[in-house]
Amino acid sequence: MFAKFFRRPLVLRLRRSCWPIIPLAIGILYWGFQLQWSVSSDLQMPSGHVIRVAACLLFALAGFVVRSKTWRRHTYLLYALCLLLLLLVLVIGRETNHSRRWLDMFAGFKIQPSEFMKLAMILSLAKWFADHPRPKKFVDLIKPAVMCFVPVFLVLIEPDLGTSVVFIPLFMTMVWLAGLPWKKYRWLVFLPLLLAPAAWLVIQDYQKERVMTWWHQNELSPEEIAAEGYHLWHSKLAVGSGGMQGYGWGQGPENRLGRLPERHNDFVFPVIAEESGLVGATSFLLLYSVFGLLLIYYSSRHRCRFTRLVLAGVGVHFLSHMVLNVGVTLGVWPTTGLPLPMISFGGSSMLISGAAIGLALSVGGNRAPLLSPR
Amino acid sequence: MNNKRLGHLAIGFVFLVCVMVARLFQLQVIEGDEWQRQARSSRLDKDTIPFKRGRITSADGKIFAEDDSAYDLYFRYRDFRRNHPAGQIHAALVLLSVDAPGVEQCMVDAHVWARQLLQLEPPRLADLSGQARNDLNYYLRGMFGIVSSEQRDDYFDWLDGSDLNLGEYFPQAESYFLQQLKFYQVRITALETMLGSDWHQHMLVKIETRRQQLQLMVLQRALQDTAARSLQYSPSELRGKLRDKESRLNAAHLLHQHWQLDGRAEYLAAMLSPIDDNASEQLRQQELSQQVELLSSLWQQVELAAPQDTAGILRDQQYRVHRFRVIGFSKDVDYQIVDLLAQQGDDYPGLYLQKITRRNYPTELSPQIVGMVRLPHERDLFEYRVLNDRFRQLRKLFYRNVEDEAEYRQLRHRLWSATLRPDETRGISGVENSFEQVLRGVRGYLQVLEGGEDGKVPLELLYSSPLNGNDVVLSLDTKLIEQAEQSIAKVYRNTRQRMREDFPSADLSSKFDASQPKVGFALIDLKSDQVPMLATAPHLARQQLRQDYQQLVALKDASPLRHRALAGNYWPQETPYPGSTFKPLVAAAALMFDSSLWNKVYRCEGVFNANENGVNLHCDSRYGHQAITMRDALKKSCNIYFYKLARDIGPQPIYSLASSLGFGEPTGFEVAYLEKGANYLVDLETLSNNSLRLMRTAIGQVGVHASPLQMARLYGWLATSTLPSASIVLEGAGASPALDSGEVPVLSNNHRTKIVDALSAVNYELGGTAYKTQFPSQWQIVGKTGTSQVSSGGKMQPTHAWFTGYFPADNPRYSFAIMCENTGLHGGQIASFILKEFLQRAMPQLAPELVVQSNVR
Repeated sequence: MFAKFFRRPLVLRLRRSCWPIIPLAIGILYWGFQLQWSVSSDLQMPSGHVIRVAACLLFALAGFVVRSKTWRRHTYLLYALCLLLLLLVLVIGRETNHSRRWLDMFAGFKIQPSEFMKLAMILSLAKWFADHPRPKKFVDLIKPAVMCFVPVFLVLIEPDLGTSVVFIPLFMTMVWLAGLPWKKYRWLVFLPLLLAPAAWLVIQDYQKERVMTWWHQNELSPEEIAAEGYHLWHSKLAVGSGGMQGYGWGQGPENRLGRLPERHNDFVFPVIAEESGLVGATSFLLLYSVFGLLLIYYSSRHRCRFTRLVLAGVGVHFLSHMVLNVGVTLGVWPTTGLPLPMISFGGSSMLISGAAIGLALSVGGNRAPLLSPR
Repeated sequence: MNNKRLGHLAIGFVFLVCVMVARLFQLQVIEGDEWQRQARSSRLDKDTIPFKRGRITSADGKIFAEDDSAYDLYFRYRDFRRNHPAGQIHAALVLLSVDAPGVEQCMVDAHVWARQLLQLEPPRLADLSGQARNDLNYYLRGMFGIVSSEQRDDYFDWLDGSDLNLGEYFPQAESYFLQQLKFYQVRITALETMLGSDWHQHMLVKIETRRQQLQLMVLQRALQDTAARSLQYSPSELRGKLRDKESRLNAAHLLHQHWQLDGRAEYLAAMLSPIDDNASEQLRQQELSQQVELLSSLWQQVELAAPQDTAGILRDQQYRVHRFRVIGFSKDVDYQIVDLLAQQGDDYPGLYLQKITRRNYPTELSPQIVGMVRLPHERDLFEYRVLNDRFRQLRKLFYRNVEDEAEYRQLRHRLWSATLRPDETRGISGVENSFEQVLRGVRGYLQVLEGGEDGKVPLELLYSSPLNGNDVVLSLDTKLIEQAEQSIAKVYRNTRQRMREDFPSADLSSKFDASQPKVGFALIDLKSDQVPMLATAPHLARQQLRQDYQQLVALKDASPLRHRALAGNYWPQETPYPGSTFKPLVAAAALMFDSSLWNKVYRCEGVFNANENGVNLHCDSRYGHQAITMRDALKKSCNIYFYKLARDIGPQPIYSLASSLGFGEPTGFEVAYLEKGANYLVDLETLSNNSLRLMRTAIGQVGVHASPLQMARLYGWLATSTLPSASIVLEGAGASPALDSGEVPVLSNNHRTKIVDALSAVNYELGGTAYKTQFPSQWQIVGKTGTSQVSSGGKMQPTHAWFTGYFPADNPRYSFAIMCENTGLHGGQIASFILKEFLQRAMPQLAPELVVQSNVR
């Protein structure tokens, strides 16, 4: 009976795919569930988060069930749909905290189109580079660049700087993996760095303030800590005071006293560091890194460019979110709002994380890998 | 696409993860202890528990001063702006850039404004900046009751492009608003009624004034912050510079240039940080609304000249000032209001109660001696500011070395427990000031670790109960003071009539003012060596002291701020020459110099040619006392006798005795400034070189000044040969700073008996200067009248009338001194009568065995 089960097409696909990411993803989701429990008021079980985790698993399953060629065939349609949603959000989106990021759906559900665009972007860039010869000149990058920067622009004017930023590493990764020669690629890396001072002229005052706060983070006055430096200071306070062992689950003072802002969402990592200490926080980073790097590793085992790019893209999606989110909370980067996929509170992020895992499993299991499993 | 690139990608991410882990290691292990300390100290909440100042009580148990609890009414504009219709309308109009009237006018025309706001259509809101639009949405929804989630969704639908105006879209909005308006009008009227007549229809006017004051502060701080940016200082650095006169002007000149302003830099300095200069004074003299207008216009100019420096500052300052600034509204409000605000606080947005400790002065006697407390002046807080600046500097340090940590802890302790803080009163005058260290207690505090060690339950770490200040018990007896004040008033009232009867020849014309007694009266208990009574007239009302201080200081006629029993701080016409009451000291000095002088006879012709320059000195008796002995000279107060006596014995005996009895020195009275200048004795050299000065000093003029307290001490010495203390403090830790009286010369019994006999004759023998007072014989008053001449501006002023002495002669119990300033009368015409009236009232308490029935006129 078991043999028959393992010969079923779906199971066969799963066996061929990057299935080791499944236990890791479940581990991360469970960690996230525990964290949401820990940050809930009065330490009540976060039933809402349970639903979101269930939806994530459902999307992962759905993403896996959809066959690779279906994903590939409908990539641009998906991209166009997401683009439409991004345009729609600017027109009829709900304004919250001076930005329009959400679309009201049925029965009180809301979606964040920019999150969906992340997945569409991975697929569409992967498809573009898979369908076209290796780019050798900048001219070859015009179309994918437009494909990337139109949504980036739309997200920027929502405005949502954090989300727009994560499209950049994705694009850079895709171009790098697509094989743009280093001599050209280095301009892609260094030119933005050289142009960075010019960006200072166009960014908004509050963004400048955040950058200045980050730059002077060790010299903040009590007034600055109470105002513009509040997020960064309390995040570092939570992380630093966690020490080696941490305070234990549900016992971090910064968390329990509600002094850590956005602790269920963008600043969830300091809760890990505060309550689990260096041991727990490093373990979490390792778990998350292994999860992302495993996807990159699996991408290297495939011949199909589309598969390789999708797997690497999904891996980079998770890893770049982790590096940016954790870096912000540790004061490595200036403060910007970005969720930690599979951990943070956001529903759209959770669904897209599930879908991305499903996509990776689906695409990764479609063809025989370059190397047979050992 | 090769795997090498994937490898590079993986390596890149591994590197970034390593960076994260390294950063974690830095924060959690290397800096872990510091962060834990920071986290802990940021959760430490330290509440001060105020101490109670010690009480000041009288010997008879009456309370002169005590602390008790009261409630003050405070106001926070932000809450009013958000929740009161008038505040909401005003804020909405400001956001719409309408020339908004004051909040009181907004309330009056609320329904008109509300109708206009209900005419708003979405495109009008779309013209606003995002922040202003959001703020306006908030106020409109609050005003028109758009609060439920469905209504809120409807509101956003309206905002998204409805063709209707707000009133049409929400038809219930107007009626809701009018209902709310009525509700708040009723509430305000009720509160105004409770606050009293001053507040009738004035609450919103006062709120508008406070709003304008806050706006002034917002603009001033915004300008300061902009100035700091322009000059590349931190805001606190700039504020430090603005405190210094010179660097303030330098900064103003630089800014004047930088911002390309017209006018003078001094005016810019005044607007940035007003001090005591002409420009600031001119600014202060403007109406509040004009000041706001001036600063607004300056702000607009600065915005144009330096837009990058002003970015975000005004809004930030507005937030800070409106959010954190709490303004005193009314002190010590009635319990009814306390109850009302406790029960229905939400109906009075912006108003809060604060429990405070207040100094009360239930007994309205001797306010000059008891003194008063006041919140510290800026210069009193110098120590606090310096220590606090250093403390904040140390607190900011992420790493503190051992020395810094020790200094930090020491400063924290001093700031929390020892240093005078801005919210604490201190004694500024009287015993309140002299015994500040005794009366002040030690603050207590409660230190709570928010969330406890494990982030759950608040943990009380340290509790230190406050130590209340020690009480100070004064030797003063309120009943005696009251009786003295009543006696003074009565005698002054009756003097004209009595003078007509007893002294028909005396000229009372314009010299004597019965309506304005200026009297100092001191009484010393010779048995207990205490001062049970110090009275002064005119009596100073404490309320007057608070309200009209400047005016009182400037008063030359009555100068009620002086305590005349201590006689300090006098105007020239009030110079306290003791006059003839000083003669017994000269007599004692002469007897101690040569006993035979008692029988020495001098001739008094009424005029005495004092020296070769032809200066004539006069006696009170027009035709002279003829041949007169010391006894009669004392009894009749013959000046010429004492001129000649002083000439014969020379300055040394007089000076020596006077200085050893404390003349020319402070008495040791605890509130020293009240006798400032009162006690003076010319130096020996001057007396030796100037015989005229010596002779005049011998009759208590020119060379000697003395307060009634000083004179009462002299007569105490005459009675007992010991110099009584001038201290009024019975109890109080570390209390009396009374001077050590040192070696006091002893008057032999023989000499004392002779002088006492003469001074008794003053009162009981016909011809004695106080004979007409008719003291009951049982009282055995040993006393001496005095009439001292004073001049001011080269003109002779009405004389002072003195009466000093002790009683009873056989068994001295009390010494006394009364000085009636500028009466133009003789001591035996008024001062002795005050004593008689006083003893009539007080004798049952002072010496019951001496009580007699006497008709005092």
